[in-house]
Amino acid sequence: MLPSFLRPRRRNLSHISAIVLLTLPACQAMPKAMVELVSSRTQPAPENAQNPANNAALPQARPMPQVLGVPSGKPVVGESLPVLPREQCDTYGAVPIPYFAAGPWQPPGLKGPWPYDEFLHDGGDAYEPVMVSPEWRVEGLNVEDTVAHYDTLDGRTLVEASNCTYLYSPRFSSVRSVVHVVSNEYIDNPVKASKPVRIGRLEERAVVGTKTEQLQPIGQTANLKLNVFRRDQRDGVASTALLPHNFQQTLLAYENLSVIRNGAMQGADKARLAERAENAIVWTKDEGVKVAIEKQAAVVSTGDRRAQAIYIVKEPFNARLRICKIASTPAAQPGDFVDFTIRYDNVGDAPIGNIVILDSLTTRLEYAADSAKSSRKAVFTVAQNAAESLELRWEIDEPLQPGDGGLVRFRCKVR
Amino acid sequence: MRSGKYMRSVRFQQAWAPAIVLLFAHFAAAQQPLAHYRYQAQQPTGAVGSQRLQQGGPVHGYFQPVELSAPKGVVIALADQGHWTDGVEGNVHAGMLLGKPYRVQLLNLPEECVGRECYPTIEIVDRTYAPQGMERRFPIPIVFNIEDLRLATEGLLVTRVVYIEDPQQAIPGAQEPGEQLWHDAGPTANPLEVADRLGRPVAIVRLGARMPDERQGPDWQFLYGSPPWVRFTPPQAVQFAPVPQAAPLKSVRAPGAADRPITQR
Repeated sequence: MLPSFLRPRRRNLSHISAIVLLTLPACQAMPKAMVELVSSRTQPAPENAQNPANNAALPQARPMPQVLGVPSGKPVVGESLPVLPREQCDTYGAVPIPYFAAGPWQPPGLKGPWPYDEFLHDGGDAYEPVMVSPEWRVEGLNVEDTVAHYDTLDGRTLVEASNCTYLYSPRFSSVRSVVHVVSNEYIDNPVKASKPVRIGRLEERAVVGTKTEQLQPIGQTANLKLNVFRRDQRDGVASTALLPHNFQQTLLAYENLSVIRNGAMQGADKARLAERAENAIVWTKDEGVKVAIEKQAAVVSTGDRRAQAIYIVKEPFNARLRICKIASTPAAQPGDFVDFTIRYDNVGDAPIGNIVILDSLTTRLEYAADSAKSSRKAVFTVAQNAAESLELRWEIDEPLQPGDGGLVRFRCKVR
Repeated sequence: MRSGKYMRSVRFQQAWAPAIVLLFAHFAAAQQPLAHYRYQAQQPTGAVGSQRLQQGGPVHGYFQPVELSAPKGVVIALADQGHWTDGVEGNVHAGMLLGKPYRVQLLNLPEECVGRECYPTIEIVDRTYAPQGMERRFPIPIVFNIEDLRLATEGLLVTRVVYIEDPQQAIPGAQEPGEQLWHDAGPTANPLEVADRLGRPVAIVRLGARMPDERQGPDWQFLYGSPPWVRFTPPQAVQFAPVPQAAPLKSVRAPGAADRPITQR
């Protein structure tokens, strides 16, 4: 299974068409492959190898493009902004969300702003992906989607989605219910009830019976005779030769056993003796040599598995459009105006054309009339969408050369 | 000794039994309604909020910013330590605890109302999670309109459940500042359930004709123990700098590169 960013995403296979890994990469070789792949995506590809027709016209060292909003000297070509589906847009660090507003607390494990009902989402491509039919009809453009589709030199029509823009703007509504408070007073009259109770006479005669029960003895008491007699003191003169010579006359600590003290074995002594015997077995176990190496060299395991070869095949006309959407404010109340800016750049190495930027506004965003502006010559139209809002559409007239970019702006009123 | 066929059957049943149970559980869950609120909005004040506190989350001890607004001329006062505070004519910004019932005093009602005062209750049942520093800018609006006050003073019980709209199900209509979109759920419907289907209920407002004791004033039970609240200053309106007009981009087209037709349509 390839990592997520290595898998081809929908139809946009222009940047990398195929990555062939002959062998499974080992853990040490995978970062190298990632570095090579990422570097191949971020560095501009040489144009002379892809489009030899323009070799004569294009200079070898192109001037650095001056694009609005980008500091001079900062390369624009190849600075790819990864655009992911909406459910993946909330990964921190992956997509630079310009105005990311997060609450003070959110349940662990959730990504992105929370709770969702307090934020307005705009941008990205949620639910089913946007597709462009051969008749140039856009399908799958849902509410809150912002995409752009364009044509490449080899006749393909590609779709790029923008990033997600979050706007904290909770709107409160209310549901009313009016209930008549009915005052109903009633009195529970005591019901007259007569229930005569008869006094019943119950006579019970018990016959005295005689019962004889023979009880067997459950115990037996017997006088036990003394069967063991031990005398500690002999009659007559006490013996002074009870202990051997030079023997310590006091018991040691470990000798605190009844069988040692007075020769009478008790139950506790058995356990103590068994414990000490077990200890003695353990303590006296012979520890032998576990491993004997007899002229045998130790086997050394080395992890030298790695990828043997990586082939990266690039298609000609590596065209790609980057589209980024930002809002002028991270939070807005109903009635406020919010400006949106959509930035699009040709980050590929081939010209693209027929660029169409689509933005389907959410229900609570009302497009301010005559507020759409474009830095390039474009045809702007609006249409009603399913959320009773508008679907904004910019058709960029001119093709976009590599490194070219543009801006569109519009203003919305938060409902 | 079991036969092999019997053992295979047993293993098959052991393997598929959990899947079948999960499948039926899925169907059972799918048949449940979207919202199954067990509570009624007409429950005693504080019942719903106390249940919300038991569900956990950062709701204990949080003073939810609330903005009370009434028709022009109406004086709004809150209870503090068993006594009414000085009334304020206009919007009142306060922080209220979740699950605690608050009694509000509305004086100097319009002429359409029967009587000159009303004592609605406010119960915060959920909170908002505004970004840091914007909590007071987005309070829960509690709007007392003239119609509700008139119905309440006539002896009716008006229950209004304030909820946060689900953006996916938001009403397309515009909402101006100081206004609030609302609709009537009807006398037989549970407004709390209706609000839960359309969004997330955050507050319950009840307006009725209950009045405090004329001679002894509001007692402790009438004020629900006078729970603590915090008075907030009205937030200042945030002014955003206008966005500069888009300037035309400089041409970065390579010299000599002719515009090639991309796709002829």
